[in-house]
Amino acid sequence: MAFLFNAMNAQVDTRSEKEFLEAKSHFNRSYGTDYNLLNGRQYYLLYSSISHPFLYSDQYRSEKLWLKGVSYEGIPINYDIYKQKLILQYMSYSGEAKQLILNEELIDRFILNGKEFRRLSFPESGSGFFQVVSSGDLSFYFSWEKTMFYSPTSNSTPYNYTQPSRKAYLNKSGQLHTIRSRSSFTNAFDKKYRKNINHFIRKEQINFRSSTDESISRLMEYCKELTATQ
Amino acid sequence: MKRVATYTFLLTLIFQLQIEKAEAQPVSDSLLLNSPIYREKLHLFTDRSLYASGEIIHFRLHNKSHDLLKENSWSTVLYLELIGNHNIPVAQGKYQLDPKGATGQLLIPDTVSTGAYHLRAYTKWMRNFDASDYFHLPLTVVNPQKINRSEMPKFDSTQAAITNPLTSHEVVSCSLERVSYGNREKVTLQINLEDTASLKKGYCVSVIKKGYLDLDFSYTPHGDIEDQIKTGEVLFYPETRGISLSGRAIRDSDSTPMAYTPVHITLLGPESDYFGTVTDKFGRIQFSIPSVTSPTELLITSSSKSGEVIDLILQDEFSQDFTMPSFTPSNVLNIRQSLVNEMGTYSQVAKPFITSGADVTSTEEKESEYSFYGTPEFRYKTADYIEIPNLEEFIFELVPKVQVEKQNRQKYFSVLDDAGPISEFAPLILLDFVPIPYVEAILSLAPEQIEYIDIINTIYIRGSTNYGGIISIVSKKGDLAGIKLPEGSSILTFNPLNKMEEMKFIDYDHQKFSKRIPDLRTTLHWSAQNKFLSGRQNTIEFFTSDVSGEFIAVIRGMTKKGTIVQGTCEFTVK
Repeated sequence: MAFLFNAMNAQVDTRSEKEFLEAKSHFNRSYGTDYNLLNGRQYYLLYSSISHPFLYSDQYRSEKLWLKGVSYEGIPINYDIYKQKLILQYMSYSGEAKQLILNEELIDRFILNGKEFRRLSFPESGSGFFQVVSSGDLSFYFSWEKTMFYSPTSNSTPYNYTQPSRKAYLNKSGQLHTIRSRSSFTNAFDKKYRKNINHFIRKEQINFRSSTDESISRLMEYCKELTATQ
Repeated sequence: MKRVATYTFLLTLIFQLQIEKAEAQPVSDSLLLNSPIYREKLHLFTDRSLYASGEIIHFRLHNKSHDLLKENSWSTVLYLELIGNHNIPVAQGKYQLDPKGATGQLLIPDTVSTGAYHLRAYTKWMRNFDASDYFHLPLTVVNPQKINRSEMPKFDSTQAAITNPLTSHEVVSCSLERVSYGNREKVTLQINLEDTASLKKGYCVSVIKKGYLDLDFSYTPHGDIEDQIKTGEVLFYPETRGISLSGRAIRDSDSTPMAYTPVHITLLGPESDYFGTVTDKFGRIQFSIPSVTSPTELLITSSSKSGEVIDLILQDEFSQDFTMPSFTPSNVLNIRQSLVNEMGTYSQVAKPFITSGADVTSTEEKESEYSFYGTPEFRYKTADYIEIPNLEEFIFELVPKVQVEKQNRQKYFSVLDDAGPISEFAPLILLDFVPIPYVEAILSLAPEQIEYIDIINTIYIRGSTNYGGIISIVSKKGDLAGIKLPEGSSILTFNPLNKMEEMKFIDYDHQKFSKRIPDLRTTLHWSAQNKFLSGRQNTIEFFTSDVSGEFIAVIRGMTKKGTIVQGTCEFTVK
């Protein structure tokens, strides 16, 4: 009997929840689309049959995004590093997947493939999207790009995209240093720290062109501790 | 003309598809209005029950609604009003409501009279029900400049001792190192949570002059005992996506609801923006206003295909339904006359020394750095060019990406991308972010009235509408360069969510204060969202003020079942 009663209750709860979700979705829709999110220029993909202009994949992933102080989760976005634009995929009323370019000035930050990107502006580099590897007074960023090249001999489309390449930056006390080598990194620090930092880089075999985010992050933690304690 | 007709057809089709999709209401109004699940319930704690005019009410609101509503953001906006005599609101605010509830401040205006007031808290959805469902809390406000003894409420002895059957005093308690402290001395409050306590977070802590908070108050909304079947329709939609504008569009001549009619909303001032929406098949407008940070003027207008004048009837921002709360006016004025007098004195003495209160009604205007379309492809500052008699010639001579075309004696704009005119969609033409249908009037404007013209020469998507580019003209004076607004337009003030300010208390250990400036705080501490651990590990530190007398620390929380958990301890300041 108790089992029957519980089963009936569960049925009522499931029905209530379904009704609730339908009602909520109805009221949500009645407000129309989100003007903060669906706001941008139509995106045109410069098609290449063997390559794409995106950072990781040409598939749109459900990611997290902050626009004008409002956070959005599960939003299908992709980062075109050839055009340096963040692209939002949305469904048109005909059910067709379409893409628009989100206005970069209104983007606070976004997460893509577990990595955080922010729109930052420096006198040395101008404004753009930077991958944040380490943040704070002492911070480290990557900027990513692809270029397009002409290959008339290939059997595919004549224009293709290169592999992604990255530039590394160290932001120390508000000054942005472009990091091209081990020495350009260590030279950004006071002389008294350079030996220790160099030692750490050698020991960890850090290469600013190819090392993982985790390795760079460990280096930054080391540098932060070093400069804070001495 | 054919081109204009095609645009109109496409726009109407898109709008209708959108609205019809939204209109397929899956759950009946009757179920929504009668099921107990959809009955929202709120409970509010304030730092005190007795305030001086010009002071700030600090509050913590608990959302006691059904978990489905609470956890899934059914209502995301809380409305709070301080109501005076004859149901006149003297202060109002809107706050972000989340599953944990809401916290915030409400400034009591300097100008209010001494008397009994009440705070009422509700959501827009709750306006579908009787106003007695709103949460009501009696408060007393003292204005030493405005005391009218004849208006003071009479003390009703039957209401003197309201006991709160919901309160549990057992699981949370507090203690102090001493029972007596000096002025401007640090106090460490130890909060003890028993191992059995199910409630660990969401506590608010208030340390106040004893008698300034009515601890025995309990409010039961009528809705709890009402079981009449409600008929009718849902008039107020839940604000699932922030503050909304709701209303109806009707034809001016015969009040017929205008279905599928475009409605244009422009935010005027520093955060200028434009949104285009459309009414549903009943002529209703439901529009969720995206993030705005400061109070702003909002222009709302509509346009019909046939050129008829359309009136937009908007719902009031705050509820106009009132009820007689189930409590008599606060008796504090009469039974605690000495406290009232004392409050009046503190208020008068402290006023010259108050530099600023918490900023709850700040109207600081900050020009938005970018328009909604970001950086335009082209910007033409009229000051950079030679004098040209009107905008038509300016565009013809200097703006190659815009063409003025003419068909059947009517001029219209066309925006060109790299391949030529964008013919799929009509461009959006804005003058000071207001869509202006009078093309001829725009073209005849003198360029010296205009600051700049922005051009976006690609298909632009905003909400559910696609535009064939944007021409955004901004006048020098922000006055539409003298062009009249479309008939039926109305301007209203839009108040965004109140800003959440963290309350900062005086710290005599780390800040220097002159002994000559009196510290007449009667709220020594207020924190609205505390998480406590079981055992004696929870401490809160604060400083006493120059006010001497009996003080009380009150710790309050609310369990999921709506039981109030409360603990108190007292001390003296000499």
